[in-house]
Parts: sequence; structure tokens; C-alpha cells
Amino acid sequence: MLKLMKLELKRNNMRVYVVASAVCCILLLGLIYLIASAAQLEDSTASQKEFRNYVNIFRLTGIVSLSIFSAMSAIIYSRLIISEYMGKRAALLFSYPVSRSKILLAKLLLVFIFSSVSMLICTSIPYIIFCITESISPIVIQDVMTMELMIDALRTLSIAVLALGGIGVVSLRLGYIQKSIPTALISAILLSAVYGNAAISANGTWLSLLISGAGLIITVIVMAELTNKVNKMEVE
Amino acid sequence: MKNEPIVVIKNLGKMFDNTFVVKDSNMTVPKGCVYGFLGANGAGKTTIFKMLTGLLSPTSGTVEVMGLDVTKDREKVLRGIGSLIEAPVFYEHLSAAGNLELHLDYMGTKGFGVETALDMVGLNEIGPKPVSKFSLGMRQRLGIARAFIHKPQILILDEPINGLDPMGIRDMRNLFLALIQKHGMTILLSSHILSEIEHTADIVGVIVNGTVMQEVSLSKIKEKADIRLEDYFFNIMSGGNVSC
Repeated sequence: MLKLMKLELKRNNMRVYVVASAVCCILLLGLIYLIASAAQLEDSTASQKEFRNYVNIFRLTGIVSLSIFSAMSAIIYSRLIISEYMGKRAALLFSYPVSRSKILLAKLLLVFIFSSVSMLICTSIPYIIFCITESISPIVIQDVMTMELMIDALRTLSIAVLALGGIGVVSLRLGYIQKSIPTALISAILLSAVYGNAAISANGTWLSLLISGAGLIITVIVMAELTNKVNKMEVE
Repeated sequence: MKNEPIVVIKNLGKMFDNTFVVKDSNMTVPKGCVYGFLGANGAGKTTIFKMLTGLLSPTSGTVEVMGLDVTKDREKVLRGIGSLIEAPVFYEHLSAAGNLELHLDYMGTKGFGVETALDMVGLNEIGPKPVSKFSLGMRQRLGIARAFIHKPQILILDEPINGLDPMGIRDMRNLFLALIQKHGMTILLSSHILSEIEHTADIVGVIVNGTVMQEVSLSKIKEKADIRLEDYFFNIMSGGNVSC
């Protein structure tokens, strides 16, 4: 499987997604400071004042990060799977003496690992920088940065990564039905807004894990169904 | 063993949208020969090639390659096949060598090796240029190199001379001959150009409206001085049945 994943990396130019992830990291860093600063303005609205505590700042940043990386994972899934199986490359791919299921699984795993690691790194970096600057010279004067807060932020991030895997695969399947990358992209954004929000914002770790677990089961079912479809595919 | 059949098709049929595009076709390809598949555009040559390589599943009949059923032993069959079907598709950002290396990795063999294969198709001085900048002829040569680089037993080439200049066509004919004589391959090639088949094939299969009408040894036709090759095939392709 590792060999197949390496070959996928060779066949597909992933550099563009690495650059995109770095840009997302910078945007998230800007966003976290923007949220914290906007809430401190004297004429800020009641809803802005909600962000005078770190929990909500991290939560909003996490939701935005999930939306961004869901969209990105949908695009990568579409490029690696929808474009490849729907286009002329399918004939080339199916001419290799390798199980079609294994190739598909290698693609799914590669995108999942890539988007999860990207999200983890590109969200953690803004969090860490923000935590450090807040410890030295805080913008949020109404709250105190504690170790517990940082652990909670990382817990939310882990749940978001789990949700990301499910959102990516389900949006890929929806895009596959229509043979359309925009469909996959829109599905990813909608799913991250609804399902991702529910998973991150659920009160309590167990509820969050339950929502993520349900998502995981749906993901496995979708993957099995997609594998079956690819195995029976014909190249006309 | 030479003359032992390496490809056997029995009562093969393929239906698309309730219409049979290939029907009741039988075909036998002996080992170590060049089998020329002749037919007009849309006669069903590519569809049969796709069924031979497992890209399409037959609606009826059986396809046996190297004694294996293609639908049941797809991966084993693919290990022994090299193919170029329709316009070759490549990873455009990679060089010719990069594309061939990738192919060998998937095939799990070193085959002829990248440099040798590129040399055999006359692309030895191509360098690291990405395939996206290749001309049609260069792409075709690279497609042929990819088809044989892993040393398959059978080469399936759909219209292999498309986009090649006369020099290129001659080079490829010599290459095919060398692959058979030195490396024991069997070649199935399709064309709608009669002269091409005449120059390369040992056996000719003529397909008309989805059915293989006749399989005949080219040398047998040539032995009969009273038959003009062109007339012979035109007669079959226009619905007549000539025995040889």
C-alpha cells in the first residue's frame, strides 16, 4: 500500500497543495488575531464580544480551518479520483496489473493523510503563535491563557481532523455521481458548515466523538460502495 | 511453443445502449506472429482490444489470453500484456523517462530498462523535457515504448502508426519484427490502412460491422497470383466472402 501511495505522489503534482496549505496557515494566523482584536474594540457588537474568551476564538478558528481544509481535500480527491476515473487516464490506470480496489484505497489514504496532516500543522502553528504572544502580551484581557485551554483547543482540532476525513470522502462520492468537481467542492463546504460545526461545537468530548463516529461509519460505507463501483467500471 | 494459440476469442459480443457493437466474433492468434486486425472505422477493432485488456467486459462469449480468462484473471493477464489503445495518455508533467519508470514500478519489473526502451523507439536524446511538450509522433513512439518496456508476451497496438512520419513507420515495423524474433512476443495490431497490415502482418483478421468475418494467412493470399490483395480485402469488407 505504501508503494502505491508513493506512486500516486509521483503521478500527481502535490506541490501546489503544499503551497495552498501554507497560504491557508497564514490566513488562519491573520484570522485568529483579527477575531481577538475585533472583539476588543470599544464599539464591538454583542456577538463580537462573545470572542473575548479563548474558547470561542479557538472554536471559530477551528470551524473556519475545517471549512478551508474540507474544500481543499474535496479538490484533491476530485483531481485524484473523479478526474482520473472519469477521464482518459482510467484506461492507463486499469492497464496496470494491480487490484483496482488497492489503487483506490491508496488514493483515499493519501488524500486523507495529506489533508489531515496539512490541517493539523497549518492550524496548530497559528494556535501556538497566538498562545505564545498571548502569554507575553495579551490582546484578550478578559481571559487567561491556561494549559487546559490549549489542551481543549487541540482536542477540538483532533475531532475536526476526524470530521475532515468523512467530509472529504462523502463530498467526493457526491461529486462522483455528477462527475463534477464543483459539486464535490460545494458539498464539502456545506458538509463542513453543518456536520463539522456540529462535531466541533458539541458540548462534551463524548458527544463530539459520537458525531464523529457516526461520520466514520458513513465514510466506510461510502468507501465500500465507491470501491465496488470502480471494480465494475468499464472504459468505453 | 510457436503456433500454439495465445489469444482465443469465442462467440464474443459486446452491447452498448441495447446495440451489439461486437457480435458472434471468433478469433485465434497463434503465438509469435503479427496478427493484423483490419476493419473500417467503427467496425469494432478497439472494442475487441478493450475486451482483451479487461477495460470492457464481454456481454457474451469468452476471451482467453495466455490460457487465462480475462474477466476472472485480469491481473495475471495484464502482467503479460502491453497495450497502446487509442491516443496514448501520459502524466504530462513527467518526462518520457519519468513516465516509463512509473510504468515499470506499477508492472513490478525492470523489463528492458528505461534507456534501452527509449533508444529502441528513437527517443534516446529526448532529455528531461515534460511530455506535455511532445509532438504527436513523439507521443506515439513513447506510447509504443511503454507498451513493450516491461517485456510482455503480447503486444496489443491499436492504430500504432497514427501520427508517425514515413521514417517513423519504417522504424516501428523493424522494431515489431525485432520484438518478435529476439524477444518472442506476439503482436496484435489494428489498422484501417491495408498497406500497413500488408507490410507487417502474418495473419489478417477482417472485422466487418462488429463481426470477425475471416482470418487468413497473408502468405497464402500472396501465393495465389490471381488474387490482388486489395480486391480480396475490399470484397470481404464490403460483405462478400472469399475463401483462400
